[in-house]
Amino acid sequence: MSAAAELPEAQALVDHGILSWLAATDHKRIGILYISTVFAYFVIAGALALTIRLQLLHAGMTLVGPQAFDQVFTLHGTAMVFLVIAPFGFGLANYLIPLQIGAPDMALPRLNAFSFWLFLFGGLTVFLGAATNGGAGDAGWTAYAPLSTIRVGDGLGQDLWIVGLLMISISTIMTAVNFTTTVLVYRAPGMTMWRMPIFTWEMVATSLLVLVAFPPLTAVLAMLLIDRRLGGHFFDPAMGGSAILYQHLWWFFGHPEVYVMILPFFGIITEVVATFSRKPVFGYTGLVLAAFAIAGLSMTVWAHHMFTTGAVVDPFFSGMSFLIAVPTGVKFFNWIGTMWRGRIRLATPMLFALGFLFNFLLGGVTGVMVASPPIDFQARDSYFLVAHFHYALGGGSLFATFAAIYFWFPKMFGYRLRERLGAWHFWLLLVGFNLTFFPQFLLGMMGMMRRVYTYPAIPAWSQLNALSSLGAAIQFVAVAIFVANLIVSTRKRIPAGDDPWGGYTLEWTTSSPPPELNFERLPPIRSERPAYDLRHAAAEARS
Amino acid sequence: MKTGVGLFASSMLFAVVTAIVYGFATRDVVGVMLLGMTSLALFVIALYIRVAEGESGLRADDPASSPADGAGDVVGTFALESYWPAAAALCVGLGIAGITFLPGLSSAMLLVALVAGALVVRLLVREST
Repeated sequence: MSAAAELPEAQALVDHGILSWLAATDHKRIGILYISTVFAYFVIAGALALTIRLQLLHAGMTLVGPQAFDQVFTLHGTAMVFLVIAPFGFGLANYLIPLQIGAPDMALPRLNAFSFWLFLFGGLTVFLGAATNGGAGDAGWTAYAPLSTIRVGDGLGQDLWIVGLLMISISTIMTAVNFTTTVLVYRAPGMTMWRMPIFTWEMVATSLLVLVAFPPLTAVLAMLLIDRRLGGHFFDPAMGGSAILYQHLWWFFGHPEVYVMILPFFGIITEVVATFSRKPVFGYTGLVLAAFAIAGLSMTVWAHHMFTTGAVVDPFFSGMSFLIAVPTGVKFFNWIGTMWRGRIRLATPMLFALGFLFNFLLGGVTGVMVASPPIDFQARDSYFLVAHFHYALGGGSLFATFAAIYFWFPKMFGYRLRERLGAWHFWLLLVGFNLTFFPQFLLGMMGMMRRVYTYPAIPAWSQLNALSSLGAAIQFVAVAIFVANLIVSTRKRIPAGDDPWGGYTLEWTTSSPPPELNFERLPPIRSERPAYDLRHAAAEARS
Repeated sequence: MKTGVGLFASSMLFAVVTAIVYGFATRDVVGVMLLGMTSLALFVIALYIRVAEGESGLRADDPASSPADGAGDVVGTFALESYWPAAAALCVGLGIAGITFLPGLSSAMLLVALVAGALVVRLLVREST
């Protein structure tokens, strides 16, 4: 397959340097821009998390006051959900999808770049609120009405939070359009949909979810802004509006959003587990169907976040929420089946994948627990819930993020990260993460509420909070080791070669890093493991 | 592309069935509306892909085809570099944020001013595409 590589009069705007990144439309550059920006936001969100843990180290700490604490957890949650986890998936997909399907670039390269810059500006706008008189948005990452419709002072911080998220939602919808179009139209000859890598399939499911879920987000944010700025009363019960309407609209977006934050990472884990088990993916069709079952069911469970409002029919949402555990369980069995009787190599990506499996299992199982309304009535707004979603998103998506970075970094940059530092990073993160969040299950069961800036001086609570804060400090050290790994590996580069891991998918058949337009030559595609087929064809030809 | 049509069409059917079951189970208007609009959106996407499929003739969907079969095909035009996405994102971002800072001033006027500024910059800077 050839592509129109250059127009006759085309000249490079800027050949090298920082400015060339401003004009980048190549999907690989945009993917790296996304991942770098995500990492910067991750550092900020992590610092906010450390602030929370320091404030809660002992009862009665006065590191930050109550209003500042509200801003801290709001920005932490907003940044992690909208600026770190989901965008990392999009950034990685930007880099990988064309490579995995044999395309020269995304279908809409300039729209791709537009999406990135709008995402960047949206994030900056959210944080800009911290520089205003009243501080940043402080109504939580969910910004429930009527708390978020009340303007305190000039209210600029909350308004900037809203408009920042509006930008991010538009950017994300554009990205989903791009991914869907690229996968449907730009696959290489022979790359049927049922030969695509699982990561690409997961991104198709993710894009479908984005197309369904982000328009309601855009709508609810616009309605909120109208209520705050233009005299609207959408969410004002005194004037005929409804605060519950806000929650319906928010969670109709919000629950698919948490699957937007996990489906790409399921894809990452599948690729890593298969490669390092040295076996084909077990149950390829089941994994694909499970992804779409999860995507479909996720659109029907939104009001399990509203059990305690009394305004929704709990049994319906409880039943659907239990049901969604089934395709997730199918995926788990498929991953285990992939590892079964495999020749497992415990390289750093595989360590993080195994960590994912352990952590996400805890997060998922506790999710099934809170899908039961009687348990949810107790756990709602407690630290049990905080622990649940951190195990799913932090222990799940974050570990898969690092698995992806260690796995695909050699492809992106042509040199490896250090394995020994990677192992230290993994073990410290695993210990630190579990030390941070497991005690929070216990705190929640003891009755400690979330979003509180201090707590009563109950000895058990103080001890568990201290343990949790110690875990956060260990996680900080782990991330510092990761940064050190990046620096050390970049200073003294060990060339990675085209295929350092013995991968299965098409990106491993091209050079590291790939050339412009991705492939000098595409191999024939006859299965879902074209790189493996190519290696074996070459070996047979040699023998 | 048949698979693509199938994906969106089956998702649409699922949303329709869920909307009906949900409506009977809960009598909640908001949820029915949301699921109904979701199914409508999925229907539009599935319909578009179905219509586009007839004209596409994608080699990718032929399991026996190989990249050599597509040699010489013009896949598309890929702009190598462009400042326009960043400039457009800045304009859109400032236009949206302008709602907050300048409620009395129409954000559309701000957008026009920024687009005009971008055109001036374009005249001064050599653009390749």
